[in-house]
Amino acid sequence: MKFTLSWLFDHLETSSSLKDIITKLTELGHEVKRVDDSSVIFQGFVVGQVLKVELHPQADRLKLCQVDSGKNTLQVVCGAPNVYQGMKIAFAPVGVTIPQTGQVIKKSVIRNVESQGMMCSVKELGLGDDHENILDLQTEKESGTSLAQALEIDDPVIELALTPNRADCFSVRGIARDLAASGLGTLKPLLISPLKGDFISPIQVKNMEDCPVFYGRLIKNVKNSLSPIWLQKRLKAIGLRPLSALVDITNYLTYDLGHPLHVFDVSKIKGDIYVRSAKQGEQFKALNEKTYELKEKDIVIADEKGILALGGILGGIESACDESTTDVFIECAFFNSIQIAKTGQSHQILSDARTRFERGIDPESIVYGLHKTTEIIVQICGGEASEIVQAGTLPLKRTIVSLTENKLKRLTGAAISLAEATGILKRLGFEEKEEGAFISPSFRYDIHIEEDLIEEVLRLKGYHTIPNIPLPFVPSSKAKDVKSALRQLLAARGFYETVTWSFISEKESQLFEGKGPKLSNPISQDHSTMRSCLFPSLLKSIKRNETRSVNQGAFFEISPFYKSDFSQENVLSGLKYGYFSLKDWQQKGRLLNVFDIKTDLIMVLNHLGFQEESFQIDLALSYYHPGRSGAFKLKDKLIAFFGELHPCTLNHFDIMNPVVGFELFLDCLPAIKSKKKSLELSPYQVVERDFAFLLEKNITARQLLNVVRKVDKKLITEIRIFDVYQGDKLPLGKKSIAFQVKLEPKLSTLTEADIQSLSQKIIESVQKEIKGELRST
Amino acid sequence: MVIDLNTWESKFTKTQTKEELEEIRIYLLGKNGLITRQLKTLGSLTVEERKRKGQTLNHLRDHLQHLIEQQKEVLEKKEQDNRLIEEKVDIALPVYPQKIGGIHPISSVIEEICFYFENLGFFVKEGPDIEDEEYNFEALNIPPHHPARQSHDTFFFSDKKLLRTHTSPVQIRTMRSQKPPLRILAPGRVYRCDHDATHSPMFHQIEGFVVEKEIHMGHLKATIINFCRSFFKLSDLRVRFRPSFFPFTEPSAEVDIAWDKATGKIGKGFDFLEVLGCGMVHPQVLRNGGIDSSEYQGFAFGLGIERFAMLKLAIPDIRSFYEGDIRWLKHFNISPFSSLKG
Repeated sequence: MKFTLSWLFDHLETSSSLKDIITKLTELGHEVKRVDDSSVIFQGFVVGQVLKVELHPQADRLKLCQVDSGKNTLQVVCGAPNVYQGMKIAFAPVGVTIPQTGQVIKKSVIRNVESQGMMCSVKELGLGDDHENILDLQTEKESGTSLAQALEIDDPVIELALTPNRADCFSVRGIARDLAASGLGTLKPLLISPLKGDFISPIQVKNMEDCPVFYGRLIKNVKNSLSPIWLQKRLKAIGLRPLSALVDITNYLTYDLGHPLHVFDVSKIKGDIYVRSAKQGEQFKALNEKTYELKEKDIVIADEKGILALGGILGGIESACDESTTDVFIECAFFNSIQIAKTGQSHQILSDARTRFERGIDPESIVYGLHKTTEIIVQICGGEASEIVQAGTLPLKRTIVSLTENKLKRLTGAAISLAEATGILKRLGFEEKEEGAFISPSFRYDIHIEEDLIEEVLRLKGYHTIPNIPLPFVPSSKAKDVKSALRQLLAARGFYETVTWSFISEKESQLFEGKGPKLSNPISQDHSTMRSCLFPSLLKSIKRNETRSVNQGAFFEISPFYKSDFSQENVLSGLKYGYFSLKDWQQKGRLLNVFDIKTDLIMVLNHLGFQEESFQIDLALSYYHPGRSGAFKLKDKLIAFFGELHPCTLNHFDIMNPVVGFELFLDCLPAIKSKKKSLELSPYQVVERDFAFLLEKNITARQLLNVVRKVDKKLITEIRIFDVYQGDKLPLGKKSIAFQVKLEPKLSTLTEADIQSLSQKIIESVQKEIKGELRST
Repeated sequence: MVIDLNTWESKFTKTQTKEELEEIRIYLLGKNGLITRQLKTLGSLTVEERKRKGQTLNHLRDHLQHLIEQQKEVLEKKEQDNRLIEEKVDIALPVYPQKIGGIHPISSVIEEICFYFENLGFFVKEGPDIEDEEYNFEALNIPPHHPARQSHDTFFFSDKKLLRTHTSPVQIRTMRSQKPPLRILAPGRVYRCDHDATHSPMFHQIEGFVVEKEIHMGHLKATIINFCRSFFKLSDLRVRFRPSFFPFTEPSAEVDIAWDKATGKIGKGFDFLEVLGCGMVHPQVLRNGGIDSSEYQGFAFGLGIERFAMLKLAIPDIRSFYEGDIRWLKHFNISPFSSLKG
């Protein structure tokens, strides 16, 4: 909602300054989005007159001008080709700041000639693009007049970001009314001289359910030319383009009084006017030159031929007034706000009329709005008005809401007496039906419950009057935050956390076996599908960094992923690319492999209280390298994937470096019993023994470890594989695995015989269960 | 034969190598050494003399032995010192420690805010990103054609499912599953189909929510003011409440903090910057959550994480949060060993 200060003063009698008004509007809950005060922007700029133009003695393209600044005559050097003697110019004297550049004008010497000020182009003033020519004001205003005044832009423009509940403030009068209620000035009476009308309108009107009241009248013999300057100025100031007087007047009154009206050219109407529902698929050519295919419930204003306007939203082009209009029919109606909202939404039409009708119009403004419109049309365009035609009666919807002192205290924490609250509400236009019961004014659609009244009272008293009271004490609820711990762990391991969007392209989704739901209205096809896997987003980040020659990196993200049934679960995804380590003077560098990412994953799992051996191993999905990846499962429930990514996956993202990654499905992890065993420190000597076995190639390390571990679960506390070999030195189809077993006795020191017997058991078990032969070393 | 201890002692200390020292030791204490030979002659002496001379010789032998040991240590120490000097390396050679990564500012800010409110007894709760229209709108008092829906540019799926436009649905989910008193904090992803320099189609909010019997606006104000002052570490930060409108709170307020528009400094100057929205939970919303609105009341607030992160860490562009540019992450991510809190 935009208006100018002088416009506000049409309705508000006040001595307050612009600054005070802005502060009060904010306190009242009307957010001031912007104030354009040209008199501040153009402070110091004046109208100047060029008295004399001479050529610069030392520069062909420059001119030497004598300028009358109103106070004195100054010498100014100017390069503009269009300067002429007698020209009225926008003059920036020494000391003034140019708004566009922030440059402060100083006395200067240009090619040995002194220059005292600057003649401005529209570009320098921020009013246009031409910077070659200086602005020719062509004004009658005398030299020394402030530029803002000369340009007639000295009326500050205020823009409010109104909240949707305050329908009553979508008019200058409504804003003045709220300010007056707050004590900042008084509301001027609305002066209307109603015209009774000289004749009966030949056009009659009919209403309908979604348009309970329809008023109208005809004015004949009008002259529809350009609007008077004051009207044009106000419309321009709030960003509306003046068209013709009749149209401008209705636009003006929409903003002035908040009741949108419409004018029809009578010569383009056939028969009576009636409001009806559109027929499904009925075509309507609107003023904005678009054609709409209407839906059944849309409210239309029609004559015998067809649709004249989309009621309460937009006029039609075929019934529009233009310069040739001589007879005009004014429509002033009241529409069902919900239907207006529906129609506006379904056809995506934003208009000043829709904004107001869907929020709620003061029903009382139907009558005074029509009178005021008639008055101004006759004043500006001449003509004779008919009597008012009317269909339906004014909806009288007045809610009564009660308020108690107790509730006031209980909700606000402030001691406000009912008497004080009553006083405030009365100032806002509420009627006190009986003590503590209030009838809301006809223009307030947002008052339904006691809390609404309390907000009104607080709004006028100011929220700063509410005491600040800390919450009653309750103990901290700080709980263990697994995600936070994982973030710390991975960050400490060199990973950077990223946050990426939850949607990816459908193609990417398919590439990662995703089944996430599809958006009906994505911002683009690249973001049309909810991701089931975070890798596409992270791979894009990798690509972006690779492009900038960053050859290694590690990223992780903790985020929900989405399933086809719209449900979601949390996943921790980590990706690393490029080198594990770069070469340096101590070591050769090497690229990342599956075991590097497995290390990260196992570390995370250990941190969460899980040991690798408790997981079943399975296959990962197709976007991983089929031979260098795997999955961990617990009781057939998928816990994690890890591995090198498939070359095809990397190709899709055009990534050159190897990439390894893991996905840990956090919500699938069972809760860990955090029962800590009591600490038992064995005093006995720890023993380590090495073994090497020749095994069939297809025996996994997991199989070997399981066999060894089973030999004595208590005594064997660690098995560390330190060598894996397969190659020429071994028989075909064989491999060798060497490992160290750590024995930690709890009851007594192990004797050589104990150790021998255990070693023998290990050798026998490996031989028996996986046909491993001990290698003699 | 007289052995002059002082002479020998100075001979010992003059030795430069263990070999030299050994030579002297053998000369004195070896199998045929001076002292050894004399000790061997003791047997031919009388008991009385043997006893006297033996004592002297033994004493002398022990003393010499001690002196030799002492010198040996000195020489060994010297040898080691020399060896260590030989082992000298160029400690200016650079090393390449494993880099420490970082925690994303969005997570950091969420954790910091959660930490603050958990100390006030709030429980952290999460809701789904894909919501029912009912939870995102209707139950929060936003009927289908309410103009407030226009400002929520909503992403839709089929079946009346949508991407939540705010974290407020968690209010309803909580009330329908838990009995008051409630102190809830709900961080998470939210979505609006709006994409330009100042808007991202996905961003993060935190919803705070209290329902107790006697919670009033004074509590809301103190909670928010103290939080803002704590977050921005300014004990006298001016915090302004001004009336506003949200369909799910009544009365409603927008909260501004003092800042200087020209320099962007928080707490300075005469301008105000909007940071969050809040209000007393609308009684209809309480009822929609199955709570008796005549018995319970409460407050709610919602704030944008990115906005708080941008203010605190001076991040200029909202889009940069989600790009995963390692240069940005290195600059803005928070070390796991130093949280925003410290």
